[in-house]
Amino acid sequence: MYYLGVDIGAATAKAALIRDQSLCAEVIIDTGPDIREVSRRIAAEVLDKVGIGMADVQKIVATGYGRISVDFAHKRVTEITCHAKGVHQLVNEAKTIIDIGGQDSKAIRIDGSGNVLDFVMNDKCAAGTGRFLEVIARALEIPIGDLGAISLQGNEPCTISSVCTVFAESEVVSLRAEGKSRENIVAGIHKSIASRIRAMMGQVGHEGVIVLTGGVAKNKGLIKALEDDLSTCLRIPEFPQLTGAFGAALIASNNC
Amino acid sequence: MYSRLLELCGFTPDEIKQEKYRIEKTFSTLKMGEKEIIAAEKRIESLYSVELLSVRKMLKIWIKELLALVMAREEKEKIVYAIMPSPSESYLAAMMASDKLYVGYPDYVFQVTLGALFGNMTPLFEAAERSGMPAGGGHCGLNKTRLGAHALGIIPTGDLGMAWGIVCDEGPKTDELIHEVFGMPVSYISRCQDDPLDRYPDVSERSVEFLVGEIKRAYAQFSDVTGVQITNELVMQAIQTIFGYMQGFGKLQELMRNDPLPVSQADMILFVMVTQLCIRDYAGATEAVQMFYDDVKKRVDREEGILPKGAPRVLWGNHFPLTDPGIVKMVEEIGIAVPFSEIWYVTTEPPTEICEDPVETIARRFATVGLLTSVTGRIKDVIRLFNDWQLDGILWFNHIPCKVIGTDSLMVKKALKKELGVPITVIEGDIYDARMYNRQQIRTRVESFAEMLATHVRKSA
Repeated sequence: MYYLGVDIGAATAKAALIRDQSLCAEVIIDTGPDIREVSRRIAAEVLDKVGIGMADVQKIVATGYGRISVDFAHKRVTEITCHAKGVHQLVNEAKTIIDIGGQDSKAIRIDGSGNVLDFVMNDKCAAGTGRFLEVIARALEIPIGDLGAISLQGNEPCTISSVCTVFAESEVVSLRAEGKSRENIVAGIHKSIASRIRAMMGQVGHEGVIVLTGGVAKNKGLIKALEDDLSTCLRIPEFPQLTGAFGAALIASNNC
Repeated sequence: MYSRLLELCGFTPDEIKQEKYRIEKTFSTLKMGEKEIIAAEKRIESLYSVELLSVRKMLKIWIKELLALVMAREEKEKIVYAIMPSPSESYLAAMMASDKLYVGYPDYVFQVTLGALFGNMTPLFEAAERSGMPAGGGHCGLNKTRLGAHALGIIPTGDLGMAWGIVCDEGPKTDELIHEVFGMPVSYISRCQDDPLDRYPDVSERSVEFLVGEIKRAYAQFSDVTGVQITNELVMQAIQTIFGYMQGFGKLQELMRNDPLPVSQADMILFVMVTQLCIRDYAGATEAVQMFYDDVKKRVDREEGILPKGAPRVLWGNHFPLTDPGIVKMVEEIGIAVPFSEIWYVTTEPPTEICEDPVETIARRFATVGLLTSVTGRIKDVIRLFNDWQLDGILWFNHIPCKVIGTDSLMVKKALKKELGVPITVIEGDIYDARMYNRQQIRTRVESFAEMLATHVRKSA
């Protein structure tokens, strides 16, 4: 039996196909402007990977901010619950999740069964999200995928005082004009994100194993900044961007 | 063009004819053209139980408040504006003192009519943002409403503004700005806030005496400006009028204990707002709330509800978004029953004692509302309400720009979590300005909360 999870995020759309609770195919593409179209396309692509059709899929759960538009889903579940289920399956001892997505970031506390106990979200404001890093990467003319490696070379992270993405962008430009190195600026940016995440973690309370998910979990510089700030080691799943879609597929297989 | 809208709001064709001049003048002042009127009709039909005469009757009372406000300079000799939070009994007494006065809360009237009913508040906010309260400055939408209305010239400048700085500093500061820019004289009423944090619900006599003195000083300034005296008899009459309405509302509120939840909070907001302000037609409002009670009671007797029986029930912290009843409708659609909001509940409770001096009754009642006293007082009130109503969780709408009811939200959440151990989710926004939040993101939070709540209820069972 196949089960499909479709996670339509602000920046990327993800699909996870599972069989016997294990991931058998996944696809990640840019969300783009047409959510209905992208949800159909991503579903078709992930099924193509294993050579099956929609009729072979038992149940489908949609999640992410575009979940309402996935008209072929049997059920829609929030990304918070899906991340909790996905992470619990991948890292059984996880108690707290940090998810940094394109449009928002979240801190989620879960119990020993992967149920959500509490959560906080940073929305409205882009600071502390993947979009924030995209803006900064553009301002510094650095490919976003290189931010992590560059920041690890910084030895004196700059202080980023702005709490707004737009102002932080101009602050970065000012820091460049002052002759600060890109390495220290990027390290400073990561530090400022880590500080925001710590504030969110303070609201849900964190204990035990902390798992980082979302596209930015590939950014080693940010991981280090978070680990330094939280004084703990973070666990990163193999496919950190996929935990929401994977969790959605698990929910599809369990109770849909 | 506007007949259907007004009929939806309970006006008869004769009433529309009688009020033609005032309606057209008001709509023209507010730039309510055909497009805005059609949008308002659709909005009202989607948000409110307009099939009920009681609801239409209350809608009419609000529209009449709007007409009275916009027409005040043409129809009255003196205009006195109030701000929240303040004891509305004082203003009703002032209104009763002479029919040559307009007395009212302009910002709340716009919030309910232009905002909740018509969905057309943006021009006011933008005008405020051009006039001293810039966008992104963290200013409260309620104060922006008042400033924006002055800046657009859609309300006359008052002959007196009575600014209560008892818990909020931005309200009086806004009136100071209105004074400087538009020339409205302002009387400032203060309150001492130095009771120990854990004293609530006891209140120091010194603090009550001080507030009594401040209110009486404000009455004297009112008399100087208007030439009208606010007597003890009028204050007592106002207290009785408002508490008479509150008793009717209290009976209605009690019906919300029923499972299934009999009626949407979108409708309830229309009725609860009367308890907060002073309006011109208490007789009509009292009749409407009784009619609405009868309508809701019939639903209760038939076991009808807006949600299935057994839906989780939660306490709503702070106000419901006032200009955007669609938010609470959305929560209900998600399957969560919200029987009341914390602030409206605690401020609609009648006074615990009637004093010989009616002004002392007002002051004492005001001084014993937890959230206007301390965080400790507020937490005590919330716990009492939560346990009394046997609820399952708490949705806390954090009114971010407010230093009074916004700043303490995280402290309150932490304390309640520890004390009650139930799911609590905080939503951030501005209860007076729907531009300050993203509906889709609120939906995600509320749906996640509902999922969390379902797990909690299942586990508890």
